[in-house]
Amino acid sequence: MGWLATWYHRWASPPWFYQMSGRWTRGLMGLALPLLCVGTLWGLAFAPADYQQGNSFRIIYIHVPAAMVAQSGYILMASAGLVGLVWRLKVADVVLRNCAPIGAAMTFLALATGSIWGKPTWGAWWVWDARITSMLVLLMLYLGVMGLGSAFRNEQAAGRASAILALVGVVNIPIIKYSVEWWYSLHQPATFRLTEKPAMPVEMWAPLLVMVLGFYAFFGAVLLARSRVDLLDRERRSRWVRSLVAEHAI
Amino acid sequence: MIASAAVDGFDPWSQNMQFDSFSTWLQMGGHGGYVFAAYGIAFAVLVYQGLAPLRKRRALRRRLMASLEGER
Repeated sequence: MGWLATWYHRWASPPWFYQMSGRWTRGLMGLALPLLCVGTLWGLAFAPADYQQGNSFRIIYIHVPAAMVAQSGYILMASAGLVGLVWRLKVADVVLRNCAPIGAAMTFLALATGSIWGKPTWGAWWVWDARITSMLVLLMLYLGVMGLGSAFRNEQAAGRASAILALVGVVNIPIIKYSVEWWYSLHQPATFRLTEKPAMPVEMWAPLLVMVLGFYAFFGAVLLARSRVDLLDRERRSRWVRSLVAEHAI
Repeated sequence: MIASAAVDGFDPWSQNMQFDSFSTWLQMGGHGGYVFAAYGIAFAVLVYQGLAPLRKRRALRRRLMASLEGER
């Protein structure tokens, strides 16, 4: 467990986080862009059309990755909230608050693409079904965390309030996941499961896997890039930030 | 999943383009409007999100440089 403690203490230190997150941002963005380009081209032109849905099925290559990242991002945000509440870590608070805007964007994207896909498939832009409603609640939670973050003068009070909301909202995550099994729904069940082979042929899910990896890498890159700028702002009075500014190194 | 793909004998390089012309690709069998609207929104959201940290950084740099100048 020694390596874990060392890892934790290093990343909890703002100058270390700032330096390492710069490398990770570049690396993840370097992965994300080719994956997203290849996945888009593959999904839009080379993957076979669905025998029932035709070409509208190609929306899956955005819809599913966005929805997966939206939910994983929420779990990451709530975990950062827990770490921030228990250990009062500035880095955790910064990560929590910077998860929210990109998580909200991903949730919006999942809802918007789902709506566009719903029209030719179900004949409706929107249905108040459990999966869709719980995703709308996820969007509200993200927006709530963003709103709370800017509603307080005091950074620590804002961080605590956001963390508590993020933690309470975790209850929504299993509701999203099991909504298609617990209630009658138009929505199709999960495409990827850890324990089973996907129900769709490999020609269809291989580009989806590429897009999912691309979306995760993109989320990681943007989260780290946002967080490190925010961290500089909060640490602006510290010696390490002042010397970076003086050296024109930011 | 990667391993099972190999077992199935799947070769991504042997996959053919599903459309025989640019216009049939754009039409997507009548679903072109839906598909490209979804991809267009996704592109706009990702570009906006991707550029947001750069905008934040520029604004912060300006502010910190100004306050450093103010102290001198």
